[in-house]
Amino acid sequence: MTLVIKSFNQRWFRLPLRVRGTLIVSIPISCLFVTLSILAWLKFNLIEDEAWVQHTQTVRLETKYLLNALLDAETGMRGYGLTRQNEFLRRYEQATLTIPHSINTLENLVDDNPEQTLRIQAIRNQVNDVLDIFEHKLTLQEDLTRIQGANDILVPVESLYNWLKEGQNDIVTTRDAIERFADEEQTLLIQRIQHRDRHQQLTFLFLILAATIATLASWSAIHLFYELEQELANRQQHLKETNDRLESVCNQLQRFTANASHELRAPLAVVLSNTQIALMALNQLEDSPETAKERLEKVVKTTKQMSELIGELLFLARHEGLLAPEKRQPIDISQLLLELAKDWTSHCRDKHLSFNAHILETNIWVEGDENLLRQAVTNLLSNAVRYTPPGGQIELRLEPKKSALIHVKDTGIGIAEAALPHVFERFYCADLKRSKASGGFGLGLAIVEQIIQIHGGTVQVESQLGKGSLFTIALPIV
Amino acid sequence: MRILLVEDDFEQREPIQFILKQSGHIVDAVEDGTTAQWLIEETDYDLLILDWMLPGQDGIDICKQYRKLGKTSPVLILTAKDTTADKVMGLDGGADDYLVKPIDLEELLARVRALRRRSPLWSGDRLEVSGLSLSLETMTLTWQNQDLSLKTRDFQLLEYLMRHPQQVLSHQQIEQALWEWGEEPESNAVVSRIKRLRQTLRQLAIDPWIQTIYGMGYRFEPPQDNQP
Repeated sequence: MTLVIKSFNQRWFRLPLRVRGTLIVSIPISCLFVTLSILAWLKFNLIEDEAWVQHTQTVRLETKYLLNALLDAETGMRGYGLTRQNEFLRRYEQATLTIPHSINTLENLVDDNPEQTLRIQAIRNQVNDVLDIFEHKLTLQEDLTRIQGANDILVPVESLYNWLKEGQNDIVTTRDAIERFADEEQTLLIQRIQHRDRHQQLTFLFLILAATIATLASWSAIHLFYELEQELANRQQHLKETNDRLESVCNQLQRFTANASHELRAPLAVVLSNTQIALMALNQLEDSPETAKERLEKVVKTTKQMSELIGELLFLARHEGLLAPEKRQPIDISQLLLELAKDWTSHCRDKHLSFNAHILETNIWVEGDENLLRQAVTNLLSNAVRYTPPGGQIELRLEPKKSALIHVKDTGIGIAEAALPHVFERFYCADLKRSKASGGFGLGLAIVEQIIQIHGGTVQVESQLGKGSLFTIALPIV
Repeated sequence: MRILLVEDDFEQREPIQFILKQSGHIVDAVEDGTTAQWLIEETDYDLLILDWMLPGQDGIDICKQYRKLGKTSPVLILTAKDTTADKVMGLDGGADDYLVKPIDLEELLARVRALRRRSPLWSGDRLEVSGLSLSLETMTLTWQNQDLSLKTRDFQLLEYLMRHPQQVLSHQQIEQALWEWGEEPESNAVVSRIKRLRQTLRQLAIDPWIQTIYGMGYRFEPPQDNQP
């Protein structure tokens, strides 16, 4: 038993919440409908039973009328025969009129019951016979009176009575038949009343049963509903806890990056400033040893690179996921690129590179963080400058298509095909020699990709070794 | 220039203090916000260099408080925080400039020079009084096409005198202006500093410009006929 309940419980809890809720609501509703329909059916049966009882009683009443009428006819006939008073004759005539009518009514009433119909037909025949006898005797007497004159013939009363009494057997038989019919109806009535009473009891029992079941169903529905609510509350609590945990992890991460930036930079600051002071002191000396100066300069340079690396790593750690909505501002990307182009034209001139910008002066709006986007394009441009030998060309182009396309193209040393899929990976360098010469860490492109990704855009690269590279940023236009 | 430097880490503070002093500035270097707060109320600084993250009161708070006192000298914030939002927050807090650690000392000196130009107490890179010109960058004194390189201590004193020409300056005033906070000058320190400066100025024959007002102090008095 407990096993069954257990397995039922398991199955129940595995159901989706919506299904469980619907089932819980459907318990009382289905109970209500079933109860109502069964009650209606029982009520209908009761009405029908009642109708049958009424019907049977009507039949019995009508049978009584018939018997009475028959008795009236007999007494009327006999009384008239004996006394010749018209009062008896009237009674007789009235009864003979009532009898066929009564039999007709009875036949109509019992036409649903073949046995009783047969009986009533037999009764009709017998009654007709009896009435014929009555009629015959009356006619005979009147004929006799007419032939023999009024009071000439005196028939002894006793003989007359006996004559009149002839055919009594027939009447008794008829009466018996009618009484049997009545008895039959009586039995039927008793049966039907019993049937009705049984139905009444059944209805009552059913009502009690329905009330019990409804109470149980309501109770279980309420119980299940509370359970469901409890479960929902638990889930919410659970979600909230998870949320809190996530939030605290997020805060920890933020604190960590803040602390890390502080803790990593402080010692660097000490190294850098002390080395610089030593270097300045050496510079003030008349005959400072050149090697010492060079070495200190190397320390300064490396420290600065280290600081840059920390900056880039922290940047990558800080900008995971998508850009926070509050940091999304509409930016005119063409305006931003025009500003950048201005800076880079002179910068490229210094490096003996030609710089071409193809940017239409129409507003193209994208959504995001202006500084981050500037950083992304700047990284691409500085890469282009870094890897393009003097005399080369750098091109910055903005194409407003489905999305805003920013092309940064150079005629530099290019990237080997095997390296192309990896250029956006952190600390990836196409070849070691190159990275050593250029002084980069291999994070610049990773930062570009991350910035563009948090803006919901993409960045792609095409390149041919020795011919140059083309980086394309695609940003969704607002 | 009198500079307040607030940085909690001695290892970081010391080189900055050293290089600023070497460039001829008088530097009050403290390690916590509470002392800094007291000092900004007591002393007039030409420049504040504040670390952002300090125990007690942070650099931005000190900066805000400083502005609330109605003081306008430039404020430079040093910090390890490098996001744009942080920079904006720092600059909005009343700072004039922002340097991310690790700072390049040469850059720091350049920024300090740039901020000095902005200071209401200063103008330009040279101080000129009656044809006598003092370069604040190189600590060089020029008089009638003759250059004279000054030592830091002489430079600081002469600069102070040249900023207050024809005023009688008491020993106490000079002490307050030239000695760093926490440094206790000896009783005859001002006298010996003046004496040394006079000796230096003798090379240009302008030592009589510093006059002794007995019982009161000193006065920097350029001769009237020397005016161009």
